[in-house]
Amino acid sequence: MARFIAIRTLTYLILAFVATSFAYLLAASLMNPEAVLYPPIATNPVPAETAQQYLNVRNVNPDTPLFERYATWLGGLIRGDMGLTTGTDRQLLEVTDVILSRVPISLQLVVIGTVIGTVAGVALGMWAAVNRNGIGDRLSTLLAFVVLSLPTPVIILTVQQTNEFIGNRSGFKLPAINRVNPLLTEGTWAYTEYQLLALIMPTIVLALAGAASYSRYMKVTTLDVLGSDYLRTARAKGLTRSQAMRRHGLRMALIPMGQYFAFAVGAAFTGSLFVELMFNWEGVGRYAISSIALADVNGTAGVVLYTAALTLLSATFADILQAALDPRIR
Amino acid sequence: MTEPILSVRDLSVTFPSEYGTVQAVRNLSYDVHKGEALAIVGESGSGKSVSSLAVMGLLPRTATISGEIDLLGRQMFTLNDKQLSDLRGNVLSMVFQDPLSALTPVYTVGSQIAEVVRIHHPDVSKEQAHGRAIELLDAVGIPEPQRRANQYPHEFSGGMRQRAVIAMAIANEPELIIADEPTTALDVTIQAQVMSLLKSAQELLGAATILITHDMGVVAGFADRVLVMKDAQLVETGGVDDIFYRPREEYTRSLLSAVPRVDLQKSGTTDSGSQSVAGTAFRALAREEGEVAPREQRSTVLEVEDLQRIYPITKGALVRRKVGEQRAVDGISFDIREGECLALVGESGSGKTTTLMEIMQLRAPQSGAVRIDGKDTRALSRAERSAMRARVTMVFQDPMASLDPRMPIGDILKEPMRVQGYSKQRMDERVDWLLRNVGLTPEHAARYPTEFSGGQRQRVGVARALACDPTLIVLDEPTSALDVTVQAGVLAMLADLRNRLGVSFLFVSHDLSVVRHISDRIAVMRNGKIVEIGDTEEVFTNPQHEYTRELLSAVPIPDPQIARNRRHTEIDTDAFARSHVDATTDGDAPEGEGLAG
Amino acid sequence: MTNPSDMRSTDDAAQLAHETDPSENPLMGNPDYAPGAEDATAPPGGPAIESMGRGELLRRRFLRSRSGWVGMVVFTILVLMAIFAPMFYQYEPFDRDLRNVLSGPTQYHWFGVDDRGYDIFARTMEGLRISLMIGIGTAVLTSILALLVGTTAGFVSGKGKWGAFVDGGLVNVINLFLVIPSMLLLMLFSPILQQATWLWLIPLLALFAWMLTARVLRAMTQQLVRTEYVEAAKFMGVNPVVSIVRHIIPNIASWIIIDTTLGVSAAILGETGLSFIGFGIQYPNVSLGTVLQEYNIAYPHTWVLPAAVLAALIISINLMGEALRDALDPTSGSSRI
Repeated sequence: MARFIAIRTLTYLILAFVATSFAYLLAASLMNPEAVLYPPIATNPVPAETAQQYLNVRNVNPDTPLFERYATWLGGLIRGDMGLTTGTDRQLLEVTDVILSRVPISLQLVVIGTVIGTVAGVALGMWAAVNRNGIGDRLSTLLAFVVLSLPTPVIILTVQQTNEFIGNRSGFKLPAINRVNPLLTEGTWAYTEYQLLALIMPTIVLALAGAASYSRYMKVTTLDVLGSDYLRTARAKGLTRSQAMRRHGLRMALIPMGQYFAFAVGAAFTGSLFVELMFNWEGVGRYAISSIALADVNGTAGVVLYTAALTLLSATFADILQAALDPRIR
Repeated sequence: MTEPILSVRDLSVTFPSEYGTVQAVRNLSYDVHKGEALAIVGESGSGKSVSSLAVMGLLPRTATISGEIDLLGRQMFTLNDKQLSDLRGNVLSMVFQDPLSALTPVYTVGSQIAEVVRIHHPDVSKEQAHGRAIELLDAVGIPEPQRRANQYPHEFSGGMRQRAVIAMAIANEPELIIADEPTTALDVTIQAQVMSLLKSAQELLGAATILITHDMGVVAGFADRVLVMKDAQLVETGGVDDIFYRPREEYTRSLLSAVPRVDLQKSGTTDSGSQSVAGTAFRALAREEGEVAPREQRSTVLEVEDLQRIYPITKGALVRRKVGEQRAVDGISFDIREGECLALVGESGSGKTTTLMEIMQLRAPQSGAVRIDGKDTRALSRAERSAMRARVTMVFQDPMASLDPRMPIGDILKEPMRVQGYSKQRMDERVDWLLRNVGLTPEHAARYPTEFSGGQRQRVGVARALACDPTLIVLDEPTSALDVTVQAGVLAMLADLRNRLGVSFLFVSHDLSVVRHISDRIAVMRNGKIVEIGDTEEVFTNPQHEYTRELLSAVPIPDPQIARNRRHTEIDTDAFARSHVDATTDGDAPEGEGLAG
Repeated sequence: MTNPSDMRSTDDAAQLAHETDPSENPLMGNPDYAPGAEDATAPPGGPAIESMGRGELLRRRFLRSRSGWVGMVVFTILVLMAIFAPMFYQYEPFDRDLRNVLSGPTQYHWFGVDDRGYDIFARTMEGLRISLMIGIGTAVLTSILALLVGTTAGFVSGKGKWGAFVDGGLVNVINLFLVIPSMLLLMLFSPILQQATWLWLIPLLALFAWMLTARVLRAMTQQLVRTEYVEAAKFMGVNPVVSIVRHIIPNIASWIIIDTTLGVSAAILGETGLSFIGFGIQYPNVSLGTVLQEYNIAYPHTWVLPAAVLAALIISINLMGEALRDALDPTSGSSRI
């Protein structure tokens, strides 16, 4: 089992490295970070020497050959240094610092959303399969179908509009924007309360999308399990329908779900892009959008590395889960 | 006679389907008495399995059921799932067809057996239940039960899994055991062991047994009473001797006569009622064969010399290193003369299919030589090999999978001819001729494979093999997927074709009784080697190798008297009794009539 | 694309598990396969199955599905609207009516006006056109790409050392594309879209959408290659390429059609998402994503109606796809609406 996990992890590491390199090369060749030095409204241009220094210190000088820049970046990466951010600010901000400061915010969203979504989806899918063609099954299948047919922004808008509507009627509104309330002092109960309340809507959005796809998938695997011979054997041994499903069926139905877990985390990251943008959270997702918009090569590569690592970790976790569930692959 | 344990009255089961409701069982009534072995016999689609699942209360929810099932005074259809669960595994247990999928893959075999004990005797501790599981495994003849109990189902062979399932079924000493085709998926030697295990378990417990099967041979050695089903209905019921020696219904007679018999000679003179149809067809052929030139004077069609196929067993995902080798085919030699049929017989894993593939690829084998019509396959040019494909053709095992479902029969038959560059007109003529020769009509050419039954599809498969006038047809278990009555027809057709067209056969089979009537010579394979090769009569009447004898004695014979004499005890009575005593003395005496404590 | 709302990903993954399951592949099963106990599969009085081809059966099952009908009707209406509505509607997508800024739906401005004075209906219809073109174009391109990679990898995988090597390479490419956050890379490509034409979005979206389909097709091909009828063709001396065209593609064609249908909605979802955050379709073109971008939570009409049109489009396509899937494999039970 350790061997299996080790080999899989090594493969993921290679894949993550290739993906990040690919993204860096793409960003470095497609983006024009020097454009920020020549804003259209500027009256007198930046001195050439200053411009060169600005570009060199950030390793984005278009006069340096692409592969030289890539080699420099790679050298920094090994030391744990992902370069400086590019942008309108004059500060020398480390990409690593910026991303690390934002990771907890994003991770909180992605992890809570995925976990709630997964658990709800698995439970719902299984329940729908066992009570196939009942009212509950039809309703949950329909709901999952509609949620999956809506783009994330539309889901967010629906949730926000609902909150707005309820807020206008009852006077109680969940915070629809910002993760923290800058007007309150840190450490007070009101501050924490705001933080908790602010978490509700973004989590609902991510969990909803996750639960919808997971429930569909779970329903299919559970239906397979329901038709299996071993479940019939379990019932022939004297287990009731629900006992047999709980003791034998659930574990078997969960095995193929492991493979899908890595995708779910990736999907949750993409979802968090929209959530962070529309709820105005200072997470990695928002940073990704702004760094691409500002042609920040180092920042973009950093974000890609973060998502690759996220996928890698969740895939490894899924492998461990699967190996724990299924003795055949140990 | 005692009160029946189980009485089924007017049972009807229907399923909704795309094309309206399907009647799976119609007005079936029967009784099972204490200690009695009842066999329900029928071909696929006869409703035999559905009727027994109805007794277990395990039919899918979509099924509509009517009638009455009375088990020990309980009306089964009035009980809810909870009440039925108390009966299942305790008073009533079941052995399923496919041991490969009947056990949950993620739990150890021991824990799954212990579970059935604990479900019905919650007061037995985990350790006691585990101990009982080990003793049960010991009782059903699994070596090293201590170690085996902690293994997972995928580490067990098919036969061992079926033993474990039987251990589960007898764990709580049920009153009634239902065995649904318990040996269909197993090799013939394993099948014999499992059947005698089941029989001795039944006799030990004094439990009534319902055996569901399509195989009359298995029935003869097992049942006291037989119930024949066809098309969802009861055909005939009676004592085992009555059914076998004095069948009343035409269908029962045809079912019996369709079974190829390993114990009857090809040119048998005794014409009892149970002579097989296939046998009769061959007898007619045997006379004509006398006029053919002796074997030595006929030319050699296929010659295999010291053929080897060795697969390396590798370990490690990144750096592959060889840790051993599997000698799938280990230096075999044989030859086939013109117009001759050689049967290659062996159990699964003996290397017979690998041998076929090595011959069919028409390329240089790993080691050794394959010569067709005297030409070595190593020396063939591209064009020669392509032409050779017309001379050596193949009939596959599964008639459902060997025909492309998207192609009409005519196109399927034309495919090999198109490769050989036949003209359009010649192909059309040939398709008509082929279809007529295999017992179909030219109108069938426009239809799709799904519109045909299994037997008809296999006829199409044979027609395709005949398309370009081959000299050798390789048949890979051509009848093992077919019902017995259909099998007899296909075998008779094959014999007729061989006789009329003078084509040679290489007939691969696991079933000695099928092979007896069609082959001139037999080669018995085991572990990649041919252990015995000789004339069919020689091999059957005077087997030289021990394995051949073992195979022959394991083949079930559809004759109750002979079968009864061959029985022997399989179950380890002491081990079972031990486990039984442990369970009842250690735990408080459990309730339930199943346990005589 | 690893869009959270990609309807296919779930089913593909499920499909994959199903396909790679050695037991039975429903696609290759008989059309007369009836769910239920195994003994009931050969109905004694088996009516009507006898002379019905597979295509005919598919068509009948599809037309019998109510949701399939609804999807087809709604989709047709939307397509007709996208074609004809801009022809007679009095406003153009970039006509500004500053006097009616943020006014709700009226008889002149059917969907109302947004905060910049643009007519929302005109923009929605224009967006519908572009979204439809992108959706269909991407889906077709994706299927072609997936078919090429999937069948090649599946076919060569069993063909000796070199086959396994090529297959392994292709599988790794598939995995690589799955690991890459496709949304981010698509955003990286947005300068190209600005410089050249928006049509570039079609190949770009396809480039990041083919992997799951290819994986399923690879598994299906592998399974088909092992079937006895492909083996039989090999033993008859049929050329491998002929074998793929004659035996393998016809047997996966229906699945490809379904996947392409669902691929249309997946591509539209991807495109609208990308446009929504400003990296997809940009001025002077309009997509449903850019229309939604102008939302104003205080004025629900600014987003509800365009979102409804978008939802109707995607739901109708998915309904058709699901009905087709059910028609192909009635046992899958992916949807029962």
